[in-house]
Amino acid sequence: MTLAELLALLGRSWSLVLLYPGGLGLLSAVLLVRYQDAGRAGVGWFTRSKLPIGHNLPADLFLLTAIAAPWLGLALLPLPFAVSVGRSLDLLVALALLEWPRLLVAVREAQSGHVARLAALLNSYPPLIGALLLLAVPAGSLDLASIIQPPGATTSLMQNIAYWFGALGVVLALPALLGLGPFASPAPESYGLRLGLAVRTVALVVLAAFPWAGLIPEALRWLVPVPLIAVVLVSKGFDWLGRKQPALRWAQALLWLCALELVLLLLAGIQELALRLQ
Amino acid sequence: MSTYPFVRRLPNPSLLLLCVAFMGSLGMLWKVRRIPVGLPLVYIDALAAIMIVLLCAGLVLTCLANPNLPRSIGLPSLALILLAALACFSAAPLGAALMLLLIAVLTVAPYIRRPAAALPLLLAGLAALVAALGLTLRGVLRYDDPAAGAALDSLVFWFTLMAAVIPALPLATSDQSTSDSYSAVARLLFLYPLARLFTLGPWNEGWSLAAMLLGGGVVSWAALATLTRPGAAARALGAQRFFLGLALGALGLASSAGVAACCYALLTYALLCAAPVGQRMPRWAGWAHAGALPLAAPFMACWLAIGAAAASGASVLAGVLWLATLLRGAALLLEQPAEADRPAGVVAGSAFVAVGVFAPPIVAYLIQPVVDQLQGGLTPYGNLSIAPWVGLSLLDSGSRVVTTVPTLAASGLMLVLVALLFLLARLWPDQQSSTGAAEPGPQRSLVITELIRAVPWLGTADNTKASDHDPR
Repeated sequence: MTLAELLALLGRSWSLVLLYPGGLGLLSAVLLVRYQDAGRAGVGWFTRSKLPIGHNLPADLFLLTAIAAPWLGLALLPLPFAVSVGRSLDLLVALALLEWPRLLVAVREAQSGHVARLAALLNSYPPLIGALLLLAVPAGSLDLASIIQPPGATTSLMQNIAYWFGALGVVLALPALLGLGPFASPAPESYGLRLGLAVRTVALVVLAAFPWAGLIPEALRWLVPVPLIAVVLVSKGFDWLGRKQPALRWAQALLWLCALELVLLLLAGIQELALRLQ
Repeated sequence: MSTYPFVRRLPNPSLLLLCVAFMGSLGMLWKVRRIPVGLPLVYIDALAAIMIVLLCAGLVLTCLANPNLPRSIGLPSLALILLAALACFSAAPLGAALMLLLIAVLTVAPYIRRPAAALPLLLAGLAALVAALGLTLRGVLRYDDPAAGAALDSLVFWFTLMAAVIPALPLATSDQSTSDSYSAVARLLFLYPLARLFTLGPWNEGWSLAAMLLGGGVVSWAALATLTRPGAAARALGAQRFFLGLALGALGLASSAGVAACCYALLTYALLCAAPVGQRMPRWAGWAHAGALPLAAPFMACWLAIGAAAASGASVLAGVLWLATLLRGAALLLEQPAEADRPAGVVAGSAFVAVGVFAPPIVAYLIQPVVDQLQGGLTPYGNLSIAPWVGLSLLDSGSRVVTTVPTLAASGLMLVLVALLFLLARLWPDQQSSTGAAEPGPQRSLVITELIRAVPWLGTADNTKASDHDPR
C-alpha cells in the first residue's frame, strides 16, 4: 500500500468516526452519562436544569485521549451497515483502545489507595480473554470481521461449542468489565473521564452482542438491535441482583468460568493438533 | 548548556563511537539482507547482523538516556560489540559459544564476589559451550554445513535452550543501577544460539513445546515479579526480563511470525534497558513503558507475540501472554509517581513511541530478512503480511488474517480525534478536571496487599474482603 492509499483510507474514515458507528456511539455515550448523572443527583434525566454543571471537556491533552481512544475503537468496529475501509482491527487492539479510559481511572484511584476498580478489571480479564480466544476458535482468527461470523455448517461440534460458550462467556464477564453490581465503583469527577468510560461501555455492549447478531437471518437484518437490547437487559439484571452480594464471591465464580474456558480451549487445541498430525 | 540530552551528549566520543558502530551494523544488515556472506571462518547472515544491530541500538540509547554514565564507557562497550560480533559472525558453533562465555565472564566481572549474581550468566555461557561441543563432536564445524541438521539432537537442543532461559529469569540478584542497565543489554545475545538452530534444520514438536512452556513460564514469573517484588529495582528487572521471556516463547512457535515477534521483543528489551527505573519519567512515557499505550513498542511486542501464538494455534499460550501483559502493565502503572528523570524518560519514551508506530517498516526492512533466511527451519503456521504505509497483519497457514493492526492509519486517526477534542476543550474547558498526577496515597505494598485480597487468581487463599473492594 502506498502513501496515497493511506491518505485515501484516512479520508474515507470520516463517516465511521463522525456518523456511524463512531458518531452514534458518542451520542449514546453522552446520553448515558446524562442518565448516570441524573441517577446520582436523584432527578429524572429529562430534568436538565436540576443536573450539576460540569459537562465540559478537560484541557489536559492526556486526559482527552480517554475519550479519543475508545471513540476510535468504537468507530473501527466492523458493525453491520458500517462503511468498509478495507482495514479492520483485531480484538487485541480494539480492547486496548476501549480499555484506555478505565485503566487511566483505575490506576489513578489505585495510586490513591482505592483498588476496587483495578480489582474488578483484574477479575474480569481472565474470563474475558478466555471467552475471546474461544470465539476465535472456529475462524482461527482474532480479527473482528472474522469472529462476527458464527460457525458455518462445515465446522466441527467442538468448534461450535467453543464459539457459543465464548459468546456466553463475554456476556457473563461483561458486568465485572462494566463495573456493575458488586463491582461498582464511584464515577470519576471529570466529565471527560466519565464520557470516555461511557463510550467504552457502549462499545463493549456492542462487542458482546456481536456474535449473537450473526444468528439473525439476512432477510430479518432489521432485528439487529435485539441482541443489543438483550445484552443490556442481562447486564442491568445482574446489576440489580448483584448489588447486595460480596464482590469476592463473584470473582471466584468468574475464576471458575475461566477454568471451564481453559478446558474448552485445551480440547479445541488438542483437536486442531490431531487434525494437523493427520 | 542545552537541556536537550542529545545536544549535551554530543561531544561524548563514546556516543559517537557507538553511533558509528550502530550505523555499521545497519550497513551490514543491509548488505546480507538477501544473500549471507560465507567465508572460511565467518558466516554472516541477517540473524547475526540483527543481533549486533539490537545490541548497538540498546547501547546507544542507554548512553543517550543516562547523562551520568562515565565517558570512559566507550571502550568497554566497543569491546562488548566486538566480542558479540565475533560470537555472531563465527561460522563455527564452538567459536560462537566461546565468545558468549567470554561475554558472560566480562559482564559478571563487577559482581564476581557475589556468586548469586554472577552464577546465572556464567551457567548460561557454560550451557551454550556444552551444546556447541556436542555439535562439534558430531562433526558440525560450520553452521551452514548442509549435513549439520543430522547432528541436532535433544541433548544439544536442551543445553542451547538452557543457555537462552537462564539469562531471561527475573532473579533478583543485584541492585539495578546504570551500569547494570548497560550490561543488561548483552543478555539478549544469549538467545542467538537458540535462534541459530533454525539454520541447522526444523525443530521437532517436543522442542517447540518446551521452548513455548519455558517462555510462557518466564513471562508469567516476570509479570508477577513486577507486581509483587518489594524493591523498585527488582520490579524493573521483572519488567525488563518479561521481554526476554516473550522472545523465547515466540521463538518456540517456530514460525515466521514467531521469529518476527522474537526479534521485535528483543528490540523492545534493548530499548527498555535504557529506561529509568520506576516511574521516574514523564507520564506519557511511563504509560508507553507499561505497554498500556496502544501502538507503543512494548504494546506492539506483546501484540506480535500473542498474534503469532494465535496464528500457530497455541491459544493457551496466547491467553497466558495476554494476561501477563495486562498484569505487567498494571504493576508498572501502580508505581507511585516520583520526580521525573526527564531527559532519560523523554529519550526512552520517544523511542518506544517511534519504534511502535513505525513497526511496519521496521519489521519489513530489519526483521523480514531474518525470517526469509531462516525459512528452511520454520513451520508454515504463522506468517507476516506487511503494508509499510498502513500496518501489520499476521496470517495463519491458510493465509487467513489472524491479527491486524493499522498502526500508521490508527495513529493518524487518533491525532485527528485528539485535535478535534482539544479544540472543543478550548471552547468548553472543564474547571474541575485535575491535570496533575494522582494524590499521594498509601504505600505501594499496602495497595498490592489489598489487590491480592480482592483478586483470587493473584494467588491468595485468604477470603478476607478488601476494605474498599465492596463496601457492602
